[in-house]
Amino acid sequence: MLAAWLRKTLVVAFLILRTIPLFAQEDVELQNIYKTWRESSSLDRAKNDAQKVATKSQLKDDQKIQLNGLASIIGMIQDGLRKKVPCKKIESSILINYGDPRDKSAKPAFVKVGQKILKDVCPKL
Amino acid sequence: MTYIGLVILFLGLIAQAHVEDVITAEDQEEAQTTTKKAVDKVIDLNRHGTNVLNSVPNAPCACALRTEPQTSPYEVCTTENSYLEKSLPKKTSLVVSKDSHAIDPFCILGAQRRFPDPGFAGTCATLTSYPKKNQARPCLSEKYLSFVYNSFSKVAKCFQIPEDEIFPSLALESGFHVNALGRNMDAGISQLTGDLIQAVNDSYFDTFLKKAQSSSKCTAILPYFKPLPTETKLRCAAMMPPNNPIQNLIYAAILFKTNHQVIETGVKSVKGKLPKDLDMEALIQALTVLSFNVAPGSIILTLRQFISSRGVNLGADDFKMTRDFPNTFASYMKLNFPVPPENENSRRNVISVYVPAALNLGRKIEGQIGGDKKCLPPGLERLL
Repeated sequence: MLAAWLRKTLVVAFLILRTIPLFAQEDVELQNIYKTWRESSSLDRAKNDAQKVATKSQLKDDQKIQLNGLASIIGMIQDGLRKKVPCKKIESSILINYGDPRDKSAKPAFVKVGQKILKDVCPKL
Repeated sequence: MTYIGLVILFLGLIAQAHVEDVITAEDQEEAQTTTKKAVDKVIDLNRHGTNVLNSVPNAPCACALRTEPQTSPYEVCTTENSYLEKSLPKKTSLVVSKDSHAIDPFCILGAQRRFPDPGFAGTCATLTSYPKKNQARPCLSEKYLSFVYNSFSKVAKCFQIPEDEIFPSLALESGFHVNALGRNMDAGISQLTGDLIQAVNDSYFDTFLKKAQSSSKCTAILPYFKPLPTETKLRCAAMMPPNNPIQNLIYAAILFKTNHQVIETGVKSVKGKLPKDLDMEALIQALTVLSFNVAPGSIILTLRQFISSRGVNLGADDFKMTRDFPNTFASYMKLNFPVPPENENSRRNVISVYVPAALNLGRKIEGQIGGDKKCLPPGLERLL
């Protein structure tokens, strides 16, 4: 009986928690942009989506900053590819401009997503 | 019973929401405290280890810097702290730059004096040996100051960097010590890490080397214009004289130039939205100081969102680099700056007090030197 009660409570609690933005995954919007890129293979579309989502009024400012940051990184990747800049150099420029050049491992979420996109574009990286 | 469970859960959520409110109120209260208080807190300002703020207990008095005729501003070297002396050029005298942005050599001595002793100095047997941590601060001799100041001047001249604009970051990061060594093996005056060396080597080194080779202003530093190794075990290469501090400072200069360009372009792109009475040059200088600690692109992203959120209600005071008021850009950075989620609060806290910390350090050094000697660019004062 206790197990049944616990199960019911947990299910109801889970449904309630999902509706509360306090518990929403912070970088879900960034992940959606990554999904867009994977599904469309279009850097243009991913960049435009990131810029568009960043204008949503219900997002917090720090989320908007990260989305605009991801759009900028995608722009850097496009620019680098157009100019035939080596992928390693593009990655370094991303880290110097948006990550922590002193510590590669300390990156904001949008830089991680940007690097994932770069790795898709340059599998040898 | 399910009902009771839900009630308990609901009460828990209300309590959590209340805690969130309390945190926000505390944050705002903290944001309203004076910058001086925020800066004087014992914060490990440089996340990689060094901290040259006045919060260091038993920091030596720098009163001797006031140039009283009978008092020498230099230290008498001991066996413990004279380890660099033999690596310094035998005949070195101060060559004071005549550039209008040149700093007084005593600005550097002031920064060196404020550096903790012992704690953040490393020693090396050779260029290829592993540095030994936690050593005594090097002896503040005339020879040491001349060597560091002249090297700094030569690099600034080659890269055409205003000395007073890069001074605050370097003073804060390493106290201008050739062998400063942070907890994560960040080495030398520029506090170089393997990742930073790698990023500069990959992206910018060759471009700047070519420019230096074609400039007569760079002749003096060209022998040292060589890429540094990235391996931690070879970190002495970024610390040992006589190659350093020039070889190390070249990296700081490259970083300054590239960061400054990103910041300048970014600030100018929002020029039309900035208050008319805001000193744009001072804002560029202040954000360039900050870019020594965080990525310049992220600073510009945050600046743009700040302007966009505040709309037309912006005044010059909102761009003050202090957290004295909740509406300043510094307060906004404390809440919104993009940082890794793992240590969000502590990083944002450091970022939001970095510029006032660097400027207050510069001011304190100016106070110790006395007279009208300046270590900081004049425009920056207006942003405090």
